[in-house]
Amino acid sequence: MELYACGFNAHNQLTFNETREADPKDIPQLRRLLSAEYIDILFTGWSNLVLDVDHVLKLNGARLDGSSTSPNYSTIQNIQKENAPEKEDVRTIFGDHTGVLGGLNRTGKILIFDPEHSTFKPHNPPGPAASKTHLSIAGNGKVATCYEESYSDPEAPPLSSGYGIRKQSVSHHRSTRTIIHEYLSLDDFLQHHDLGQSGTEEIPALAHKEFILHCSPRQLVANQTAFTFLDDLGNVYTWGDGRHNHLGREITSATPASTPGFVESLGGIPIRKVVSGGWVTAAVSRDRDLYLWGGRPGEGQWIRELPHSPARVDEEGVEEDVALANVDGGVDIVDVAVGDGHVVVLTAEGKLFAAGRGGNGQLGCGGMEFAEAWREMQFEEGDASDKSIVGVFCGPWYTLVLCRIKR
Amino acid sequence: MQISDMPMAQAVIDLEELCAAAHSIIEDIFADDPIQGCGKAVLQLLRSRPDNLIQFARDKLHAYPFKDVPTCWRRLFTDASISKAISEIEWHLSQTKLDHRINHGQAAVIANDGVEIVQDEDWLASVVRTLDTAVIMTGAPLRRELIETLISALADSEIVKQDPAEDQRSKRRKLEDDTFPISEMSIPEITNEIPRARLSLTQFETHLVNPTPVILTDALSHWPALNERPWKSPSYLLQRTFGGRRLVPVEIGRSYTDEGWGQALIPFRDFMDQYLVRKDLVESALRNEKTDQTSQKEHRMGYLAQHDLFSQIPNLRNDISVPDFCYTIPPPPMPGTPLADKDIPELDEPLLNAWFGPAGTISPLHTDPYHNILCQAVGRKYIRLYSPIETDKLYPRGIEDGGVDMQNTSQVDVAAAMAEEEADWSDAMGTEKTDEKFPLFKDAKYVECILEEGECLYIPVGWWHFVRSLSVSFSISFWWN
Repeated sequence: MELYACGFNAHNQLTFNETREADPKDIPQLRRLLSAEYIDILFTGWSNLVLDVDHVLKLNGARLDGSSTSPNYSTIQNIQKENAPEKEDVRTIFGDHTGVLGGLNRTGKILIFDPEHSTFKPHNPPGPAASKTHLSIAGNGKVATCYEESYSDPEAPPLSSGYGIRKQSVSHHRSTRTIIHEYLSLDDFLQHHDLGQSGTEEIPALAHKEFILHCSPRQLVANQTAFTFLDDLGNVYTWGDGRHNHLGREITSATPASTPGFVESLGGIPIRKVVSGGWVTAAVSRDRDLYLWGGRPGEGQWIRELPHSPARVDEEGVEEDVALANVDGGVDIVDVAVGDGHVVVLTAEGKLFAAGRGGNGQLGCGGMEFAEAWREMQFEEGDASDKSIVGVFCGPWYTLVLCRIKR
Repeated sequence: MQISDMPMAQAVIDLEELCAAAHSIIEDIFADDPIQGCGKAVLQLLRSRPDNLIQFARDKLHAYPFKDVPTCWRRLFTDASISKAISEIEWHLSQTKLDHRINHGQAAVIANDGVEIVQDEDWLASVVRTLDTAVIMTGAPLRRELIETLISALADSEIVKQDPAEDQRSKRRKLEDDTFPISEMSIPEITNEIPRARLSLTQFETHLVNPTPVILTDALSHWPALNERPWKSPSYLLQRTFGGRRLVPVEIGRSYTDEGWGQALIPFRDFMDQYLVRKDLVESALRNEKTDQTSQKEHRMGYLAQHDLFSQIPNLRNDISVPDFCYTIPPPPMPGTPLADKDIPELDEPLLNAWFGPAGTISPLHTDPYHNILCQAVGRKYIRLYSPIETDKLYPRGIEDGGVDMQNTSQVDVAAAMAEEEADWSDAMGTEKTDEKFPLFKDAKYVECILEEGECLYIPVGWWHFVRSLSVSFSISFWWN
């Protein structure tokens, strides 16, 4: 596999196997960073990132002291738990603009990153804690977590306001549901007393909010101010700061911004993946269609395809909540990624397109400040046709492209 | 351009030293500076990537409701802006040195990797824009003085005075007539006039026992703004705002209660030019505001309203003075009136605001939580006042979407109501008459006046006021409690 990247490199997060300069330049077109048998991307922060390279976790970019010029990108050791015979591998990683902050392991336990020793250590919560399936940090510091639990209550009325695709209970005695908690900060979360079982409130939780959705969780992502939740049946729910009309749905007193609300525009469309960054969220359906919503009013420039972009509103008159994107003549979309202000898509034809902010080179189109319409991304050597692209990932101001080596 | 070596070289060194000192101030961050909250990964880029950090901070400013923005992001926006401004100044200083050597026959040096740089037509405007944006968007915590020092140093420096582009601009200004255009707005008839009086401070204190509106004549006669440094001279105002480069927040649209109303940050010169001086633009704006169907593209009215111009631009502060009346202890809001229940903190110092705009600007009927002395430095305004007792006939708004408390603003469009009264259909908005929508309004008692240049009006706390300019007008309000 090969990893390509372009964009913001001020912390040497995209510098591999080269001399690390003190004032590194951004990368204007997709450059090959490394090759390995197996590569995966676990964390794409503003100042550093974490890759799985041949099953070893590697951290690249800014360190605890802010420096980023160590000679080699450091290796994150897998966490060592003294009494456990097996190592508890990190499954997902979370963090913010300062860097990696922690992760979740395979059994849903919280891990905290120790930057001095470059390892993850288990976090010991002050009370009983449920194993989390997901944890996400928004740009305004808020944290959302979720976990799944099965429960027995044949008469349970739905507590969520969603009208999505419903799971048929095989037996009406046991159902599954997702408990979502929102906290004002990561510190708040780490100090909380979780409710082991929602409803048994012997120990009060410090959770700022709790929501219950009748489904199983598949994804929980965040951008600067909003959370997006995807369930296993393809339903999308959003919530967060209601000010900018970027939740992809109507805000009313019945469906307020602060509570997860079903994205009606995607009702009946099974969504496979959601990604979020800045004020934009994107969703790819199982039918390989791309949907976009968001954008911040007051920004000088807009990705044309966003539902509230001035160009689109002027042209079409009607303002929808969610827009169906049309890339390269309406071809199928295989993957999508969103940074702080830019969107990258991989089409079924193996081509890469990007739109939005480009001043750091994240569009792969040189230093182009902003692209309102989709632009094909450029490689420093060759082009997309001689590569077998399998995935796209975005940091806030950079783009990563994962390829299989074409035989 | 005739430059003698010594003054130019000295001016360059002074600015250079100031810039170097400013760089140190920005980069030697104290342990207790709130900017530390941004994290080290961000702070290490202050010198090398100021533009990127401004973008980063700007995003964070929008990630929170304005009052909740963590101080670290306001500090970051400020310091990154200062870093960017200083680097720009330093670059132009180095170019000036090169030009100087070029004039004397030395080899030209090509800067920036072989690409010859064409000097910006007005790099000073760019530097001022960077600094003023930080001041207006964040309040520039901890850095107000530094920014003011930088801008003053630039304005005073020989670099500016010798700039040939500056020469041309000042020549252009002198050729034009140095007054604002006269408007053709009709003057409303006054029936219940607010009394005029010439009160001493003691007499005013007595008046405050039972506070009612009063026009204080001869209270501003010593103001330089009305005498030797006249604000009715556009060229003088331009000069005090660094050739009009200083940025000001301008409200675009007829009234802040109308849809489509918005705000923009533009250079003072552009504001004066597009919204005050250009007769064709001003008249078309006035016409456009009379219809409901103004699209975004048509020219609209602009109003520099409720802005603390005087802490942003201390030069102008010296042309006015806080009336003695503002140092009295006025009574609190009347019991039983809406403001009586609110907890308004006591002001240490009177709050100053500038109100500068063309004929036809409107401040819709509203109350303020402070006592107010409204002074006319340029032009005249029609003002109508309703006592807090009349509140139940004035249809206050409620709490709007998003939790914004608009209870201090009336739903009644007074300008429209006045037009209907005078059967002046050209000013009536829409088809629903005020009498039908707000039946009690016509019974509300009011007093009114035309506040002339050089006069000031005392508005007691909680009194509803509607203000409409009848000419180009520059007012200063002093709020105190």
